[in-house]
Amino acid sequence: MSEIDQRKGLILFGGLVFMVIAFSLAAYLISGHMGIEERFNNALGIPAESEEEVTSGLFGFNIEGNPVYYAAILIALIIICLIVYIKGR
Amino acid sequence: MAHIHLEDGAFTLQWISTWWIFAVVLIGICLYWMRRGKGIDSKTITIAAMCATASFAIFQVNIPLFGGVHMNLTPLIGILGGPVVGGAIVLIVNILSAAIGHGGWGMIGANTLVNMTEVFFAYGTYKWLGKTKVSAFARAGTATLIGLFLGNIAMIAIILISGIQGVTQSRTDMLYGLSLLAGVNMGVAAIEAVLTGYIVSYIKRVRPDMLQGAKTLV
Repeated sequence: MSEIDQRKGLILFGGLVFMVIAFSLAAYLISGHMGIEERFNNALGIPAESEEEVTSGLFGFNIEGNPVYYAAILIALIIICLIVYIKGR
Repeated sequence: MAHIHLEDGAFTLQWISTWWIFAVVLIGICLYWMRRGKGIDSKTITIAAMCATASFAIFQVNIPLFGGVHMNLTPLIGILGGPVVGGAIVLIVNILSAAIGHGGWGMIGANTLVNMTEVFFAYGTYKWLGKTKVSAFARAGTATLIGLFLGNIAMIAIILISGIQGVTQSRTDMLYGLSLLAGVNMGVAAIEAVLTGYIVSYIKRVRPDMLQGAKTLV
C-alpha cells in the first residue's frame, strides 16, 4: 500500500471532517444554544414543558434516564461480556 | 447518533406500529441470515456483547457540546459486527435505553430503523473503501460520517412521514427545523468519525482478526 495513497485518503477525510464541522457550527449558530430535547421540540413546534428537568452531572456530562437503572443494566452487560469472553477463549 | 428524541404519543399508533413492523421484519431477516450461514461463532458473540455494552454505556451520556448531544457508536458496531449482528445489537441497545427512560417504548421501532441505517451504510462504505488503498483510519472515519449522515436523513424522513400529533407546524417548517438539528448532530458525527477511525486503526494493528468477524456472516 503506497504512502501517497494513504496520505491522500487522510487529506480527503480531514477535509470532509472540517466541512462537516463548519456546516454544524453554522446550524448551531442559526438554531441557538439549547439542549437535545429542547432542540427537538423547537424543530417540530412541540410546546415546551413549563419546567425543564435540571440535572447536574459531572463537568456538564449527565445521564439520560434513570441513573440507577443505567448503572444496574451497565453492570449486568459488563458481567455478560466477561462471561462470554471467558467462555469463548 | 441520530435518535428520535420524542416521548411516546408523539407519533400516532398507526405509525408506531408501522415502524415497529418494519424493524421487526428487518431484525427477522438479520436473524434468518445468522442461522442460514455458518452460524455465529464465539468470537462474533464476544464482539457483539462488547459493542452492545459500549454503545449502551456511551449512548446514555449527554455530552455538553452544542447544548447537549449523544454518541452511540453505531458505525463502529457495523464495522466490527457487520450489518447482520449490528441490526440485532441496535435493537437491544434501543430496548435497554427505553428501559431506563431514554426515549419512548413506542419509538424503539423507528429508532432501530434509524440506527440500522447507520450500521448498514457504515459497514457498506467501510467495505467499499476496502477496494481502495486508503488507511483503516480514513476508511472507518469516512464510513462513520456517511453512516451517520444517512441515519440523520432516515430520522428526518421517519418524522416527516409520520407527522407529530398535536402540532400545527407545517411539514416545510419541520423539515427546516430538523435539518438544523441534523446539522448540529453532524458536528458530533465528525468527533465520532475521528474516534471510530482511531479505534478501528488500533484494532487493525493489535487484533486484525477482530475486523474479519463481520465477513463470516455476510
